[in-house]
Amino acid sequence: MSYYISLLFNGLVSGGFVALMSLGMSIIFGMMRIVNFMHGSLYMLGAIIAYFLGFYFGASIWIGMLAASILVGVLGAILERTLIRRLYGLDLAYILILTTGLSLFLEDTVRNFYSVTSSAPFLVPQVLKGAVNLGFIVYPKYRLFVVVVSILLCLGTWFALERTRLGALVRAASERPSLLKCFGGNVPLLISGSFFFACALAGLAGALSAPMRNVSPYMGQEMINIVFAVVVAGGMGSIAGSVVMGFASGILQALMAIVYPQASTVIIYVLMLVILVVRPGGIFSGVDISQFPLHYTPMTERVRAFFLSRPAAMVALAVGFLLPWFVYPILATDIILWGLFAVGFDLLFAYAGLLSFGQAAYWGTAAYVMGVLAMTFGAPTWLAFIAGVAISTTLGLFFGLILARKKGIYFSMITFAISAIIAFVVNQFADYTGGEDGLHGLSRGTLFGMDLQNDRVYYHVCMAIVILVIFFLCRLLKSPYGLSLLGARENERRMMSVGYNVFFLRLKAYVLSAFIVSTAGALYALNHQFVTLEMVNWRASGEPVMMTLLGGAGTIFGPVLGAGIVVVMRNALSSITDNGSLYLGLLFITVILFARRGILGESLHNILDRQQNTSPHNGSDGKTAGNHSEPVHSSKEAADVD
Amino acid sequence: MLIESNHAQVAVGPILELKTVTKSFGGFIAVNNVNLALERKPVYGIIGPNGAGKTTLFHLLSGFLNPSQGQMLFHGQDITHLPPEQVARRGLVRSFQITSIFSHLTVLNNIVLSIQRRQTGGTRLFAKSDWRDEYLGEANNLLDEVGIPPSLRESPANDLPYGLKRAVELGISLAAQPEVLLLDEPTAGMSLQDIGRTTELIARLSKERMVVVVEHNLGVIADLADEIIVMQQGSILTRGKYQDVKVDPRVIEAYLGKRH
Repeated sequence: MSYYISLLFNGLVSGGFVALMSLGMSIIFGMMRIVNFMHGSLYMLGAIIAYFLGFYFGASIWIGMLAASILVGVLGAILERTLIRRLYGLDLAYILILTTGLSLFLEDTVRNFYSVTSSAPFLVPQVLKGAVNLGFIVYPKYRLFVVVVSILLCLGTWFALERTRLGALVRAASERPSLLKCFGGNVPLLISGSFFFACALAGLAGALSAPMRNVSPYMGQEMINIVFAVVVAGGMGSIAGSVVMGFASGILQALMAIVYPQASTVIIYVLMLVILVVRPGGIFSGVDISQFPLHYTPMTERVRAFFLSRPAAMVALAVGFLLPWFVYPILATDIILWGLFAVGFDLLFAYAGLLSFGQAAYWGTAAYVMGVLAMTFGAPTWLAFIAGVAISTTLGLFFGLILARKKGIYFSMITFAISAIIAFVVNQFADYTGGEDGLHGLSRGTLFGMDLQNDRVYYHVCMAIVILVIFFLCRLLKSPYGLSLLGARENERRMMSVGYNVFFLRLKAYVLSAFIVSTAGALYALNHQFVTLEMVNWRASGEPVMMTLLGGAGTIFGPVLGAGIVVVMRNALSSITDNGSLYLGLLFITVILFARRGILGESLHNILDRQQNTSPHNGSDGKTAGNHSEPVHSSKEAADVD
Repeated sequence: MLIESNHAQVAVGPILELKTVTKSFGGFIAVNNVNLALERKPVYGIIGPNGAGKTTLFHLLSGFLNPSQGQMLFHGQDITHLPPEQVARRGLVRSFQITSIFSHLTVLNNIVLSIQRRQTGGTRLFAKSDWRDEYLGEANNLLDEVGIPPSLRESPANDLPYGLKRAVELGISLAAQPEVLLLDEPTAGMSLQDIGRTTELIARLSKERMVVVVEHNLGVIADLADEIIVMQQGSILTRGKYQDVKVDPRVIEAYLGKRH
């Protein structure tokens, strides 16, 4: 019995960390409508700070907590003031990517001077050492301390927000920033203050975890994924929702550890998926974000027409054929296949207005199905390839039926959950998929008498497939359906009001994207002749997001260009420096801050749009929107009532 | 010229009928037990003070909201729980009070979207590169009609001045060639000159289809409407001709408050 109770307490302990993190994330979201993806890194920083203070200066957990929360809070506030603020009023996706870039940067910077993995028990002072007998259970004092601290902090925050004048101001600033400004409230200060507080909570949670968890530069990654799921499931922006779901997630994980230990992480994503399907707004009603439109900086029709034109295709073709003369054929194949992956992602992002964080589900599924069929069942490669793509696309249709009804951040989160579940399934069937080891020794075989084992031949076969897909995609974007899809992205309500079934428009785009990504994934696995867990990992879903934004969303060839830059940079950097992530992080930050249309998009915009369109009231220009000093809650203002 | 033959069905009984339709949000009742039968008439005007439930009524009719209670019939067929696109396909199309157009698409494409939906469904994945041409004639005629000069038709709808955006809004709804057109404050925020133009346009449109218009501008309503429906606090206060309605003490009270 006491075994189960202690498991339950362990659940409360890890739930406490998650609750503190989710609380901060929720405050930031409620206040600024931004998703702070670097929250995990701040947690990591808190732990590192406490670790160092304890290790070098013999500081106790008290000093560690204080220093970690202040330093991390200040860092957060500085980043908010200098960088994040520039993106207020723009699409959620931009800040998400900016904060992802920042977290890459932070993690790699920390890794430079600290790369071991160990906990910091030396932080625990004498009072908290040992165990305490609670009557029904003997439990470590420190863990109990964690539970108490996290509950007290959550309650305190709730009290401060709901019962004090300052809390009322903060809530007012999050409801209607412009109105509060009219009343003389200092909105920017309130925002920075809340940001400081939320980040301080993350730092404190990190410090608190240092004595009992492995402190490493990457400890924030798993944390941020869980926290993200918890915040969404609890109802974005709902303080109570995030705290309750935070503790619940810990307990649920603990219970799961009894029944089915392997699934203790994925259960959070399953829970979130179920909640979002059954109760779309989350458990507690937070901010209604289902109506948040994607206000990323779209291409004008003039620029789009250019990318869909023949000269652009010719240039791209020429580059494609010259590529294997400049880089190794295997690398060249990597570039165009990642590019195809990104193109599939971009179909959803730029044309359907749906930001997917889980396209790796199809990238990996196609590869694994193909791999298992070929390796375990001895199917010929071509058959395994076709089956892999077909099964993976069918899976896309199945998930699409759930997903096409979702929008905005909910869509993103469900795609994320789906890919996490796929990764879990792949890992669970290690007998077939090889688990951590992956599947090695795939053979490319031959095609129409061509020996595909030759890398140069294989490149050209892949190239042909990529050309075919992009050709059909261009046709499709110029078709009536292409226009309808743009219409649905621009204004869903208006489309419905003239008789369009927006659900089917989106479903089609989702399945098409799944098909393109599956094709790319299967080809990619054949290129390296192995399949690993990397292909279903959430990082693999992040790559096309980065590549697309780097090259230029909605420019057809931009995502391929972005893929080229990322793949080549990673390749080149890995031989010069081991700070690859750091430079990539910096690159993303730069692109998001200064060239939101991406490299291709921005250059074309300068050439084509600027010269013809100098009208000052062009509201579509992301640059002017960047100057807003506070969040714009467009969906709220647009709610039309009598 | 825009009329379509299949709309000329002989109407027996009311075209649009609402039976005890109620919509509540939490504790607030926005539309309260509305019974309304509309026969074929050129223009119905719905007026009422702010918060009377006019826009909510439009949301209910067009399927964007589901009534908490009651039934809605269009040509005797139940449309109560149809999704918006199904309502639109049956010939009941609305415009929006807050301009709702495709901002980043060209003006022409705004209209083409609506035309292609009606003609071919707008879901063909592949088409000849000049597929748009077959709709351009109709689209240009329509833009002539709503008064958007040819020079602006290839620019993004977002670049248009407010009055012309309202014209695009109207054009999108018109391009669907509805049998019944629901217009939600078509002249809201317009200049006097634009209001005059829009009023004339609606009068012209109503020769070919039935128009139900929500309007705050009583001058517009007086010119246009053959019958006026007055709403107050979610209920129908009265209906009748403008001359009769404007002297009705209950209407005056609803707008000006009780006289002491």
